Order: sequence, then structure tokens, then C-alpha cells
Amino acid sequence: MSGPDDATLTIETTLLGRRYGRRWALRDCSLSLPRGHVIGLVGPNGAGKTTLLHIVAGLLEPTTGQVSVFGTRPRDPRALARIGFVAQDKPLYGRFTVADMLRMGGWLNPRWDRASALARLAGLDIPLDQRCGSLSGGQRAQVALAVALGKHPDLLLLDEPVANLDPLARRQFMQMLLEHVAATGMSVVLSSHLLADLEEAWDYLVLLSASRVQLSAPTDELLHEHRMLSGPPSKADAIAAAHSIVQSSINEHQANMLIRARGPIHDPDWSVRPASLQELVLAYMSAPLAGVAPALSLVGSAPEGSR
Amino acid sequence: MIAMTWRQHRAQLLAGTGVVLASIVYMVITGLQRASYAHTIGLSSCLAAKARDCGTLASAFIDRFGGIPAVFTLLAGLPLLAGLFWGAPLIAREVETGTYRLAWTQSVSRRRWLSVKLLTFLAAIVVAAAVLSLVFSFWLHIYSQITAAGYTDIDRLAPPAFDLTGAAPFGTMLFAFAIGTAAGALIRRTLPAMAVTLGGYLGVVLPLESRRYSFLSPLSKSGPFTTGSLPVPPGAYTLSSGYTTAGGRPVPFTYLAQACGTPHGGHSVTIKLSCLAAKGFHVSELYQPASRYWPLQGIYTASLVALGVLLLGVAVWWTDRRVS
Repeated sequence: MSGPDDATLTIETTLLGRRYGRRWALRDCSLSLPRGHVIGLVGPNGAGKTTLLHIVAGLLEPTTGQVSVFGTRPRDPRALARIGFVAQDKPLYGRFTVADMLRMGGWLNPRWDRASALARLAGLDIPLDQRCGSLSGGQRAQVALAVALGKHPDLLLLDEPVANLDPLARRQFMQMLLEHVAATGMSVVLSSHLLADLEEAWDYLVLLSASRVQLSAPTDELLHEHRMLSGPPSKADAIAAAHSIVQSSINEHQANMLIRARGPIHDPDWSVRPASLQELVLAYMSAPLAGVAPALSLVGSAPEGSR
Repeated sequence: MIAMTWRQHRAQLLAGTGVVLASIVYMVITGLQRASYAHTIGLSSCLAAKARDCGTLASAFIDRFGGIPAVFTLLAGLPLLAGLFWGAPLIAREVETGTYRLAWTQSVSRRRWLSVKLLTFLAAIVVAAAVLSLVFSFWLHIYSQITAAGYTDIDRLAPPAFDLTGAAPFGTMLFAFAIGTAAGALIRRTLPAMAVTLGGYLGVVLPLESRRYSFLSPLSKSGPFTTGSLPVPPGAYTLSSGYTTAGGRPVPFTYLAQACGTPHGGHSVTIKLSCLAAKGFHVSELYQPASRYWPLQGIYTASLVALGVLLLGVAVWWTDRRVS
């Protein structure tokens, strides 16, 4: 509950799990997420992203394990006041006008910033007297984000924020978000099943696949450690002995591998290039079990990274 | 949170106010008609004088207006609307439309969110029930006077007046609202919750209505056979009429037919009154006296309120711990 972690961590979970009937939506999820990052929560559909976000937002009780946000239970009103959440379908009260939604923000939140919420919407030509039920998808998303940001959260959780938006609305949405992040240093977790959606925005990556955490690390660290190799199949075993192999495809003539390097590779028979985030994520997603062990050790080392 | 509750539910609250106002207007109009007629023919002053025989005037009044119109039986069903349109959607709609993810991620705890809403609706229920109960008592006043003087038997102890006076409207309305809220919380979908509310309300209130006059053991009165039924005190509610032997043992009507009947073939039987009297048969009545009105109201309302509070507790607990 207390200690130095409170100042540096937003979300901490220990062996978190959630079961629906006999199916686990999320399992053994242990994370320590540092503050001041834009964290991409990535994984295929059904990987448990929404479940994890709902637990962190205080909407869902975990079946197993613990979760703390800023050192308290998410359901605690003190934590609730510091968390902004925008659900995937951007729920708004259909019969409220946009102005009513902003009033609601003021009624229900002690730190409500009406002026900046108004300024945000004014820049987007969204009429305040329009009913939310008749807004376009893009406008809905903007209003939902404005309500969440007006709360002045220290942590903003966005579930698939741009999944249903056209490219223009997508750009406007991300622009509004990133301006706010730059101005306040707020921490953000945004989930997506498509990598290309948000890749430019993140500086930290959490990969969920098959209901488990496969990766959790700053993106620059991941890019720094992972390499794409191609070379003679006969030397594949030597590489496997010295480094962790995330994914490999080996035929008679050539071995292609994505590795997490434990040191430099000097053998000139191997052609080595850095792995892209896209390749890395796809590799961990398609080989979920390979990821478990390194992901867990990385999780353990995450607090060190924020020294 | 109160401002939020009002903004979110004002349409429902205003619609409820409209229904209550319409009922009041109807009761005031029909009540004034009756009062002014009673005044014009001199029934009111006759009853006030007590000493005089007002039988003719009372008959004229009853001939003109009859008893309590059937519409009032519908009015007694009004509380159900609080369950269907206030209770059932309260939580179910939030879950159904996904807005619970907006509502419960603001800075207000779920428990407080729900408490404020419940208290707002409870306040509305107290006001609606009190107003209906008072206005209907005013409406019924002339009948109560006629009954007290012994010219008819229409008073607040018998249905539907029992359901529209005293604390009963509060009990039924609170219970309906509570069962609607709990059904909405557990089922999470408005329409099925409304169906369960309807079924649950009728399933509890109808049996309770048929048993509520037995909560206190009824008084009995018995007397020798006459042509008419045995008179009970003014304003009393008769639960049942029956027959007993000279020894006091209850017997069915067929027993009388066997003892004193002359069959005509087929199912037709003639029973001689003199024979019944000679053999010592008695007529008996089970009834609740008018003086038990408040104790019976108290027990009936308290049982509905207790059930309602229990259901609201379930709704709060379930919403706080389980729904999401």
C-alpha cells in the first residue's frame, strides 16, 4: 500500500485474474506500470485488454489477485477521482445535450475543469445544445474524451479509443489526447488490437495474449534488445544457447529468428538487423508461450527501470 | 449527485407527477359532485344532526352515484407503475446502454450514486402516496358518514378503499419500486426486469390482499335464521358468512338442504326457514370491526415495507459488489 513505489507507479497488479464461468478472461497478470508514460496495451481480440482496463477502472472485481492504483483500491473514491476512463463504445447519455454532459462532469467530480473542457469542444465545432444521441461517431469520441480529461485525471484509461473512428476523427482524437499529455504529464493506458493505430503515441508496451501478460517494458528498451537474424541453419543452436529465441522459422537453407539478445552477435555468417515494433508484437502474439518467461522477468525489473 | 439524479430522471419524475395529478383531478371532480349533491338534497345536514332518520336521502344518494366506481380499483394498481417505470430501469438501463461505465467511473462511489437515486425516488413515493391517500379520504368522506349512520357498508376497511387510504399506498408503492429496482439490478435488462416486476408484484400483493384481513383473528357473530343476512357493526368488513348447528359446528349449505330440504327432482330444492329455525341452525359472520382499520393497515403496510427494504438492500449490495 505504501512505500517508494507510490510515487513512481500508477498501476500495480499481482497475479490478477478474472473468470467468467469456466473461462478465464485474464490470468496471472502481474504488472508494475510506471508513471508518466503513454502505455500501449496490445493484444488480439479477446486477450483480456478490456477486462484488465475494467478492473483497473474499478468497474470489475478480480476473481483472483490484487490491484492497486496510486496505492489504493480502484473502487476507492479517492482513486476514482484520479482515474479517467473512456470505454470502447464511448458511452454518453443519449438524451443529455453536450452541455449537460459537461455539467455532469462538474456535478460528479471535485477537480472538474469546465473551462478547458469547453475550450476543447469549441475547437471542434460540436454544438453544446446538441443531444448526445445524435452525435456522429467522431463527435461522440471527442465528447467522451473531453469529459474524461475535464476530470483532470492523473491516469487516463482508453479502451480501443480509435477503433471505430474514421482517419480524420482518429487524428483529431489523438491530437487532443497528446496535447493534454504534453501539458500535464498525465499517465495514459490505451488498448488496441491493431498496432498501427497508436504506435507513434506509445513509449511503453504491454502485450496481452491468451489471457496472459507476454511483455511489459518501455518500447525503446524492447527495440534495443530485439534483433532479427537470418543465417545458416547449422548455427541456429549456437544462437539459441546464447540468446532467447522468441520466434524462429528454419528450413534446409536458412534460419530466420527473432531473438532477445543477451549481448552482441559477432559471427559474420548472421545478418543482423533491429526488429520493428510490429514484428516484435506479432512474434510474441503468435508464440504466446515463448513470451511468458521473459515477460515475467521483465515485469520484475520494471521498477528498477524507473529509478 | 442530486442535480445529476434530477437531470437523468426528470422525465420519469414529471411523468409520475402527471399521473398523480390526473388522478387527483379525477377524484376532486367526482368527489365534489358527490359532496354538492349530498349538500343539495340535505343529506349532509341530516347526517350531521344525527337524531333524524336519513334513510330516504341516503338511498337517493346511493341510487344516484352507486358505490366506489370500478376506476378506483385501477387507481389501487397505480403503485405498480412506480415499479415498472421508476424501479426496473433504474439500474438496468445503465447496464443495458453501457452508460454504467461512464457513471461509475466518475468520482462518486457506486454506493453513493445509488443511495442518492433511491432516496430521491423514495421522497417522490412518500409525497405521491400521501397526496393520493389524503385526496381519496376526502373523496370517501361522505360514504364514511353514510356508513357510520348505518345506511350502507361502503367504508375504508374494504377494498379498494383500504388500498387507497392510510399508509397502504406508501407500502404498495415502495414495494413495487423496490422489486423493480432489484429485478433491474439482477437481470440488467429493462424489459425482462419489467416483466419480473409485474409478476413479482402481483405474486406478492394479491395473496397478501387475500390474507390481510386475517392478520388479526376476526370476530364472529352468530344468530338465528332470518331472511336477511346478519347485521354487522357499521364499517365492519365481513370475511365470510356461514351456517352452524345448534351446537356451534360450522356446516355447509348442502347440509341444510339435506336437513330441511324438499327435493323437486333435478337440482331444485326448497328449504323451509321454519324448519331451519326449529332445528336450531344459526347464521354466523366472521368480520373485522371498523376499529381495527389502523392495526390492519399497520400490519399490511409494514410487511410490504419490510419486503421492500430487503429488496432495496439486495439491489444496493448486488450493484455495489456484483454488477459490471
